[in-house]
Amino acid sequence: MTFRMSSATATLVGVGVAALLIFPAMRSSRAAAQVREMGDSKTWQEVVHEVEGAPPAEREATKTVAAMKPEGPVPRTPWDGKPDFHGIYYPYVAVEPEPVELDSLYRPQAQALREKLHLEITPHMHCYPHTVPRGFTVQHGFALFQGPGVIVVLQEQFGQFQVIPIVDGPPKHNPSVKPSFQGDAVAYWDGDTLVVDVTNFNGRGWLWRNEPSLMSDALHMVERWTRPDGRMIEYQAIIEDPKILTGTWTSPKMRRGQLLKKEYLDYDPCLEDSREVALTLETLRIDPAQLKLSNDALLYGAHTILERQAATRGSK
Amino acid sequence: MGCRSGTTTPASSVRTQWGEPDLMGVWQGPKLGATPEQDSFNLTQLERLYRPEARAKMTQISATDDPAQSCVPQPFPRAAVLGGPIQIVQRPGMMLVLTEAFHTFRYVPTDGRGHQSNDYLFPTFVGHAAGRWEGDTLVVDVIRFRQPWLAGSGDRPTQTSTGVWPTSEALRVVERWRRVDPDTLEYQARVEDSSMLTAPWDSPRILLKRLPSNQIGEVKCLVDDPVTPPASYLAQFGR
Repeated sequence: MTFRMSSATATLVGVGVAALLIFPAMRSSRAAAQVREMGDSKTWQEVVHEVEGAPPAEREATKTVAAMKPEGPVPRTPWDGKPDFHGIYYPYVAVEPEPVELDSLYRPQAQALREKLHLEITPHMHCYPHTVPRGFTVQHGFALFQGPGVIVVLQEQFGQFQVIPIVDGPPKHNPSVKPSFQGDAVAYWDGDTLVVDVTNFNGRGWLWRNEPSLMSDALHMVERWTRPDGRMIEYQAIIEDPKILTGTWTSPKMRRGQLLKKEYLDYDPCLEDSREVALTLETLRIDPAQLKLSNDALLYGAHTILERQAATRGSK
Repeated sequence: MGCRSGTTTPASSVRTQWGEPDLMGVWQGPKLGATPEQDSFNLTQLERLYRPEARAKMTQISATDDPAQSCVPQPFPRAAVLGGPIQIVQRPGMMLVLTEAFHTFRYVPTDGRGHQSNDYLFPTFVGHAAGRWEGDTLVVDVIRFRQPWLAGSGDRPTQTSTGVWPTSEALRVVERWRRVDPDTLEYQARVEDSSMLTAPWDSPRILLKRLPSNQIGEVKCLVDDPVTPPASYLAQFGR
């Protein structure tokens, strides 16, 4: 196994451990992520591994994105003069807490389903693309590639990407596009804020760090991307999912900082190996019924499970 | 990424606002391959180029060893002939090539900077790219691959073909990208692999047609997914 494979491998082999490392339960609104200041000579993986491998106490000694002072003017594109988000950003930090906890918004049936699911059976484990805003919080490299009329979100983990056309508003979605993990995204400018409207999710991903943060195919998300200065990006998502949430959820306001002058994002594709997954599940000794329910929620979406349960109740 | 106006515009005038040739858009590549009856991907020649020692090793692997069966990203030129769309986004001095099949991305610098020392650090599935403009043609030198296959297990140009197309760490691909008219992108690659091949192999000229779309989609190849198992996924791309 080469050096490059290490983060994906860790995820597959040590799902439980990796889940804790990659998605630590960080409820504190500030100073969540800590990083070293890195020289340009380090590879991206080295940066990631140093940070992920460092114990919390050691991380405390490092500089935080939260403590970053605004630096430099907002870069603008040479083609339309709008803010230029292009760059590689690492890591994530929440700068303003969520007004209402996502956990408090789940409908009773959805909450009951959440409590039955096994926390180790994650979308991640199956190599599913990260749904943002969860994807924004993953402690791996995250890049934006902006060109005329388009911005592409690129993630180091699994090498996934999402193409977001930038249109002269209002956004129009193409209803013929197949539902997907990341949804169909269309962006427009509201002044210097890039507003991204996302629909058409397959409902199979997880929304947020609080696991299992189920979502449905009815999810509608509005993201607001801004650049506070020359090296940070700021992100907030406003989410409605009437099939499983009782009201609108507003994510924390989050930032990522540009700490490296690297121009390319490398990636680790997720090479799902059924034998490794099976081995992990055996190690975890998961109850077969719970395993099936957890897998079904990922394969068909929480909404499908809830609809099936409702139909069963109705027929009794 | 609005449509360009004037379909009679000569290629040289399709330029970005900052003056580079404009390769941007969503482009549909052809589905090329080879059978004894028809070889649209010039694989008869490639098969002849394998060194005897490489052929000996090739008897020890089979079609199931095709990396595509494990859903790993497939590099160009194979990625250009899977029959799926690709998307190109440019900004000054840099290009991003996105492929829908095996969903992957490549950064391609276009400013002639050459390879960086970091490019030699570790191999990647799609290789490290360094591009430069020769007139309106973007010439991209790609090195440090993870031993991809050059074609698929279904590609058998002769009756004796075994459908295995391995490469070595010496693989180098020199690509030529050119927009021949507003709706057509031409791609051609010269493939060198001194450990495996006796001489460079030239792909055919591949013409990709512009699609009236501004985004390629999310298509995942997932080994363990009963909803989209790799067999049905690969079938979409004729492999």
